[in-house]
Amino acid sequence: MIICLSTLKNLDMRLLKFFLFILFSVALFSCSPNGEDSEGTTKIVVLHTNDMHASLGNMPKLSAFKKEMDEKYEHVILVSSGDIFSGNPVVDFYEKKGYPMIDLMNRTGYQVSTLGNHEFDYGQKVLSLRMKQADFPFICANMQTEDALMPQPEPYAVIEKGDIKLLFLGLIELGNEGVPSTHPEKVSGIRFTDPIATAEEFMHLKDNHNAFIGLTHLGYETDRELAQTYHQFDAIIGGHSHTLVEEPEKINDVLLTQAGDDLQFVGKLELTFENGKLTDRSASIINLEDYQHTNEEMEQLVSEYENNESLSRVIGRAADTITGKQELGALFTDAQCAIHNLDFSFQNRGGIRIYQIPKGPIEVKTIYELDPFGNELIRYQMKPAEIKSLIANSYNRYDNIDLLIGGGSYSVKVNQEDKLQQVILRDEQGKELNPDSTYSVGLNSYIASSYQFDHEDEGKSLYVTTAQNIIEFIEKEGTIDYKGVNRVSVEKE
Amino acid sequence: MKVIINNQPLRLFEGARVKDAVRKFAEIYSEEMPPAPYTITDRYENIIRPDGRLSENDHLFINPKKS
Repeated sequence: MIICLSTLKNLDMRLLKFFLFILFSVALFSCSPNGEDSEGTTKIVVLHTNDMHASLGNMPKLSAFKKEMDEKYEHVILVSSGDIFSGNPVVDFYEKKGYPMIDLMNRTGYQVSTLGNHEFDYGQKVLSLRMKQADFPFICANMQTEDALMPQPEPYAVIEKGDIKLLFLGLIELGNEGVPSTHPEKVSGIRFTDPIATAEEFMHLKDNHNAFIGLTHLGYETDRELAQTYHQFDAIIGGHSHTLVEEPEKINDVLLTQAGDDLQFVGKLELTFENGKLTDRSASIINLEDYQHTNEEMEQLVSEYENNESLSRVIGRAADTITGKQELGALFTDAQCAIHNLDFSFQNRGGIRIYQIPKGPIEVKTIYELDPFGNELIRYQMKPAEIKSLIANSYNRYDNIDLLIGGGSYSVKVNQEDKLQQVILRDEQGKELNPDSTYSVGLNSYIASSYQFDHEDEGKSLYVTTAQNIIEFIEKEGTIDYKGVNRVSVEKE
Repeated sequence: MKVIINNQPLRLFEGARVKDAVRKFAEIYSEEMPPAPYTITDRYENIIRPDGRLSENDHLFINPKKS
């Protein structure tokens, strides 16, 4: 009996332990609301950035935030909506262009990125190397690399979390000429198709995936059009227009979001699934500037990248010291004319930010000190009268010479009160221009947007900065000499 | 390319950014330019960052920043 009682007691204890184990297990899993609970609810958090433009500074904070999210939620995905590159000389002129961004994105845990127009800025060979370096795929559905130097990206990526499959469809914007907003030479051999029409080919995939997400680089207006056209999207995570969507809207039941630019913000798209069916969607924005945590290891790495030797690289030599606005302006404008085969180019005095380039070796960073504003080069087709109107308006703006010229020379005739009477424009041979001819003229984006002048042609960005042109020009020339160059003069009546 | 800022049409080069449009607006419609600091929004009241690329017929609004 004692034995029996003891056996019964032991049995009871075992049953009790088993019962407690079951109870504990049920409690444990049902207390995991951020993963999958016993009722088949799964929550997936998609963190997203766009238009980072080689901004490294907040990557350690993003890494820390991603880690915090990983600890809070069972299923976290980090994605990019394109334009990773271009905008930070530390990355753009790194020995292996763009390498630091991909390295940091790998370490932070990105799982997919759509191709943005600025991904092509370094050229297709470099982009190929960066795609190979990346631990994540680049996607784009509306491009075919027919005769290109880069591999064909997949149109979409599928990321699985538990039993949930999320499909991300990549789409890139096209400008008026049917190619993305980069220098046309950078995308030669690639055929692009209309993003909205192309998306239709992929709508059938909606049925085989738990969530169907556009990971686009189209701009917010086109994202709205895409949503209006295809209700199949559950969400569109956008880029290109640098829009900060703090209060997301649903168009045609498609949730639209985008997270500003320069890695100042990270978007958080929360998706809830009940037994595999998407039942709830919400989107919010986190300002990384206000986020207090960071990843110290990444901070160290970013510091090493920011202080790397690439900006000290010698790109050429000055035969003599290049001094003052006239000589430096001639360097500015010659570079724009030579690199883009322009007839004329103009540079405003205020955009020349150092007094001289000393005789001897010229480093990359000197050019960024000379031209720090990130202005792009804009090309116009202009008649001589239109070019003269630009010169006249710039003179009247300051009652003094403002614009420096490449590709020719000019003089302004003024009266005794220094008021402009006439502009005389000459080509490189010193001849006045044929009034009926049309000339290609390069202006930086500051002049193009803030100076008033006559022009039939609306102009087109060449999607390259004037500083990049100067660097390329000096690299090609090897040695430059602007001693005594003076192409602009004032004649008093 | 035509864009509209505070209901005023502007003509800009293709590939212009938001900051280019704001500069042009300030040059042409200086009396309508709010004093800094200001915010730039699209027609859906989303904030647009200065480096954002513009497209044909984009609408922007420049307004004094709310304190």
